[in-house]
Amino acid sequence: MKKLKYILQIFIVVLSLHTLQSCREDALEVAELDRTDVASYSDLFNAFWDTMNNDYNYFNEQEESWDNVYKKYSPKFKKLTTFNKADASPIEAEKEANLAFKYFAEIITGKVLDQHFGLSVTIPLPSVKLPGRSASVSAGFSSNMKYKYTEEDGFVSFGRNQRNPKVNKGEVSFVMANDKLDPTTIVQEGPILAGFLKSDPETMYIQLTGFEVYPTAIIEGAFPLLEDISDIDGINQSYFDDLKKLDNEAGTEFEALMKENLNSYKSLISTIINSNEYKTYIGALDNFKNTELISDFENSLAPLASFTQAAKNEFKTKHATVLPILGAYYNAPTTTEAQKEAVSILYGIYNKRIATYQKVSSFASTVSFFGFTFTDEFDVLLNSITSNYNFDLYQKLYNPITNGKAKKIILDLRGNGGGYVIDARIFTERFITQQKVWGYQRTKEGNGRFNYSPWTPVETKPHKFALQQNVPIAVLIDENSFSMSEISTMMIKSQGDHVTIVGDNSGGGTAGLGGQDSFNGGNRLSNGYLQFYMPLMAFKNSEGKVVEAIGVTPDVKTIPTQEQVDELTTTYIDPAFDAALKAVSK
Amino acid sequence: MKNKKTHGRKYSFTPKVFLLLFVAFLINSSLSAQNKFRVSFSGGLNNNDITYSASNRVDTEYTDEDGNYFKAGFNFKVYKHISIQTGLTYLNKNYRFQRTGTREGVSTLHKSRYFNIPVMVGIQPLHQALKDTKFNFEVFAGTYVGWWNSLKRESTVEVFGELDLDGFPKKTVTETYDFDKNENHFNRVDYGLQAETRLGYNFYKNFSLFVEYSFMYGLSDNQKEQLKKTSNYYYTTSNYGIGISYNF
Repeated sequence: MKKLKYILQIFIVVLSLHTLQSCREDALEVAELDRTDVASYSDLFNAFWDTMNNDYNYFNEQEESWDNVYKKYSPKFKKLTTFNKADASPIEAEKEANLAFKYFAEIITGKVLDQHFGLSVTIPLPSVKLPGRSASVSAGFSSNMKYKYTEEDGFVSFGRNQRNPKVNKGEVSFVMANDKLDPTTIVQEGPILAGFLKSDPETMYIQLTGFEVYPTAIIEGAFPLLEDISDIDGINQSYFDDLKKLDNEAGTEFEALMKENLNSYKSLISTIINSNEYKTYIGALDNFKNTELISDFENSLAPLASFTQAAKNEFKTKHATVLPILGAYYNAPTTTEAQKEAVSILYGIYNKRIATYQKVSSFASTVSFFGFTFTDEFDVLLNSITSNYNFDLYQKLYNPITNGKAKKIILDLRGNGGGYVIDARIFTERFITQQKVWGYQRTKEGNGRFNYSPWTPVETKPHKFALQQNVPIAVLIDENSFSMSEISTMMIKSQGDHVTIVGDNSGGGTAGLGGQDSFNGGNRLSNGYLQFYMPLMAFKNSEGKVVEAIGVTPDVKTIPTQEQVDELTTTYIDPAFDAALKAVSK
Repeated sequence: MKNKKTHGRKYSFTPKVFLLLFVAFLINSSLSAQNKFRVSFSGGLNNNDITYSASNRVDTEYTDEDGNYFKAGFNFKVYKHISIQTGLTYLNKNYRFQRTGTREGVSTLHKSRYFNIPVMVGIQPLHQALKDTKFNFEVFAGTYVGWWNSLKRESTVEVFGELDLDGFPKKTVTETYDFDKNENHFNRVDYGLQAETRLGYNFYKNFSLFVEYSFMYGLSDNQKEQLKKTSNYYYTTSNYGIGISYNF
């Protein structure tokens, strides 16, 4: 009886625990875009809706409830039946694909707050049925786009919705370089055009057409440096001994030759590192890091390249003798198969060690600048830098900002669609004189549509070679200034009233992009049918206002007429530039 | 589609059911007030854990956190050794979101304060054995309803806009969450099941000292209802404390 009571108690406890567990909703598994099969229009919509539901950052600020989007459009997509159906009528399939595009446009256009957001949709058509061949129709969607849907022509996108006349940034460059800037002060490199105005030699004009300054910057690791390899190992003795056992004379000869060559390589690196030319190069590079004065560094490159070339030729001569000597032995009629194998292995090991020496010493390395990547030996890289690097960037642009020669600055970011975030450190913070909060970021934490981190202040602080004091600055923006342009404008504006923003409201796409794992939000993935371009964060300005779709509002609103835009390269009249010049001149 | 989720609701209890239970117990309790009545004050430490789903997230987890609680208890003896226990508990239900592995250091500590009203039925399973001693042992089981009163968040995040050549720098911010804006769509209504045990010692006239342990099994998600939720956040809380009581 006691035993029965005991069993009954255990049963009650187990039953209770089970009851408790069932009171909670099951643990959820979340569908991931790139691991989701799509077999129907309904699946396609669900994959889209779920990805947004998991990763999008502005649901709290967006007007339309995401639940309502599901309730409204899920039935519509369910009614479409031809997705990826080989036996469907191609005409009917094409019609349904266009109808799906219309639905996507209705959901996204003017509704998705994030102006960076983009979605590309590809829908397969059944017209081509051969293996390895396929036909599909695609369309891209963003919040700020124009489109039209008719039964006959289906979905037609007219691209981005342009609010005001669009100033061509290439034409602005032309006008500035040919008319307004002093030619002796101009530097033009990649996205940068800069120089002092003819009409006001104290005013520096900088046009930045994209935030792609990073590849032009001299930063740690940008230029090749050598590492001492005196202590690096040579070839393991067993490889020589294997040959010596078969042919002691040849083995001894090759051992001496290879060891001497490997030592010569070590000596080459030591010789260069200990040379006056290398010390001057290192000293000039250090001096540059402390001053950003580039001429000593520039002048140190050619002598070091010449010295290196002469020094390496000695090694190259010795190295070149190895293959003929070993080749002659290999091809000799008296050489046995076993000896051939041993000498082949030895030669392979020798070359592997040389390659390792090159890599470890960085004698053969890779440098990147201006978007180009050079992989070669040390002296060749130095010569490439001499002939390709635009040292004027420092002499004509960055140095005058630091030394106060630029007493007024116009920074033209019209038409600049953004780029590298790191450019904020490399470029924008040159115009910063004090540490300030310029905005707030919010990212996702775990799962959940509204599972946000707290708003976190984002600060800017002066670049090591920034302006030494506040000077009048005008930042020119327009509706085609996006992302890093807007971020840079807000950073510089945070400095005070000496900064005037001129032009039109910027595009209003302020949230940054990256991989979704970094901040548990955003999405750049594709499943073959849907390709997302979704930022990983939300952003608001220093006043606590989300400016997505609104943009940065200028202090001086100046919008050119269509006629002024059309005639820019003939009249050279640029009203926004004139307003910027007026703003810095007052 | 593979990886489909189960979104069907499996609640056996709803807030309305709890409210009805709560009212019924209060009525029952007041009818029984002519019998013995006890007030108690207690407090101590607690630990709160939270459920979550993060199968799609890299290096992401939620962990339990310690906190404390204070409680004013009211006990009505309704029949021999059966009583009704209610009161007001002011307690932490803390938890932490954090990244692990290469992203270690990113975290948000949620320091939550809740008001809870438990309604439990109690029995004295050892009353025969303890009747000649000054000890008293009680076990309670029932429900609780509550209100999320406040939330402080201490968050260390990587700052996207401050990216430098070494990566994203980390920054720590502390904020008092604004429930009026409620950007995170938190559900402030809190309810669940509660069990409690209490060992008391009558040290002076009607006064007793006691140690207690209570276990709270949350049935309310801390995020508001929405279509196709990607995670549920339920609390499980353990409270350990001491207190003093007075029998009227």
